Amino acid sequence: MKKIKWLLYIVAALFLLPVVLISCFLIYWDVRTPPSFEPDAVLNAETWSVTPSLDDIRTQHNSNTELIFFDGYFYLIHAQTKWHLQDINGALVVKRSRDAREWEEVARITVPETDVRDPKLALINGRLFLYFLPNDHFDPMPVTTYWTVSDDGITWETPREMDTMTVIYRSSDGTERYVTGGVWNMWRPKTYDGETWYVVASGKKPEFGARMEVTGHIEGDSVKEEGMMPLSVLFSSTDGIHWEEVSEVYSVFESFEATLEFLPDATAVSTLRVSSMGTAGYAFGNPTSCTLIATAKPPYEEWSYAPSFITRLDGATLFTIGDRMFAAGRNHMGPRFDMGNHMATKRTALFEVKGDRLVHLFDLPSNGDTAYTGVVVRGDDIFISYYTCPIDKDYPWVVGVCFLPKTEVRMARISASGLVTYADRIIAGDR
Amino acid sequence: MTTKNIVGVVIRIILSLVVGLLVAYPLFLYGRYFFIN
Repeated sequence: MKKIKWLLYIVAALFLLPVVLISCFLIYWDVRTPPSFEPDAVLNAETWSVTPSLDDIRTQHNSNTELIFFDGYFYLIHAQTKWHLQDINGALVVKRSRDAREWEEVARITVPETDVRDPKLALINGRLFLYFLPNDHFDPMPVTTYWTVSDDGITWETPREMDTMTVIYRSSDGTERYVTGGVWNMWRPKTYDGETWYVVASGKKPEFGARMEVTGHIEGDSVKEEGMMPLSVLFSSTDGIHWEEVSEVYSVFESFEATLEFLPDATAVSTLRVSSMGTAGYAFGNPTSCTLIATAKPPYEEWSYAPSFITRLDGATLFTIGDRMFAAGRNHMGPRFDMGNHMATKRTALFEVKGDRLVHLFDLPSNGDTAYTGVVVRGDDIFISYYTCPIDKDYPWVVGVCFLPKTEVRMARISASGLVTYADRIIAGDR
Repeated sequence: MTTKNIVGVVIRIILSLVVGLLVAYPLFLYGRYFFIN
């Protein structure tokens, strides 16, 4: 009888101790204080709240921001849900402002019974296009794109699937087949000349030939299909609706959330979120998770690459100041062997994007579930929208995802000339 | 019942409450979202 009693104690402890341990961590993470985030004076930086997290638990998670300047207004769009994971009652909230400080809500975009997220805006032929992800996975996965368009930023057409993307299927015998359809997840379109728009989208093509096999769970496994090859493709369009493949940007390992921007000499730069370069690992991180910097000269058919292991640049935006390329995105505080660890601290940060590496510049006030930025450059002012858990906390990512997921949308303004000066100092080794 | 026994019972009750709350806290934080629409 005594043995059975002790056996029950041990079984109970095996179940309860992990939960007790999580609880102790949650309490510790809730009481620890964040760093000061004191910006360097040369940046002339300030941040303020745009959409605070209110007490309604159904709309407390404000995330996935995007920012654009259109017709005299800043337009900000962000997701509003109960938490980071799938919420079929979520919405995309559209706000506008003359000065980026006083905001009014002008529209809410929803798809019935569908989780909507990752909004991206582009001003194409005088019309404001919105591309976003209708997510149907509990742990969100990019599988296709929906789009809508507005002439005034207030009235939007009914969203529909972007099923007018033409890709080229190349078989091993050299034949090519053009296929038009959907299932491509677009990130943010950009233009160099104001006439042709480009976007990098992630998706799949039929697999021809051998590919490197990966064992163990990595991010993105749940949407892999037999005989299909995940890759990121560069598309171009002149109307924002019909997109045609220009080139395959990267297909060695699966990549998502590919940013795009052009340097003044028309060089295209893209940063890709690579979850793994062949090693297993997801929830507790992956040693080869990284940012892949891809560059191409016109006509953008040949890409060259450089991996950066100081972060995996999730939810990023690229922008240029003169001939310098910068990124605002997620800082995983690397280099580290467990890049992407759910239990790790992550920040929204500014980086300079060199052809061969990322250079971390500074973090914005942020913690927990954070990043997914939008950027507008106006004169010497850089406006950066992003979301974060309360900035008086210092949560790891997972806490902001599903335990304490109150998040607010914030705006940062920094000096463009100050950013260049600061980057010069960092690169020269004077942090 | 001796004083020693009473102290033992009180300690057990307090420990049970603490462990119970520590188990319930993360389960409540995470689990509540499955009941919110």
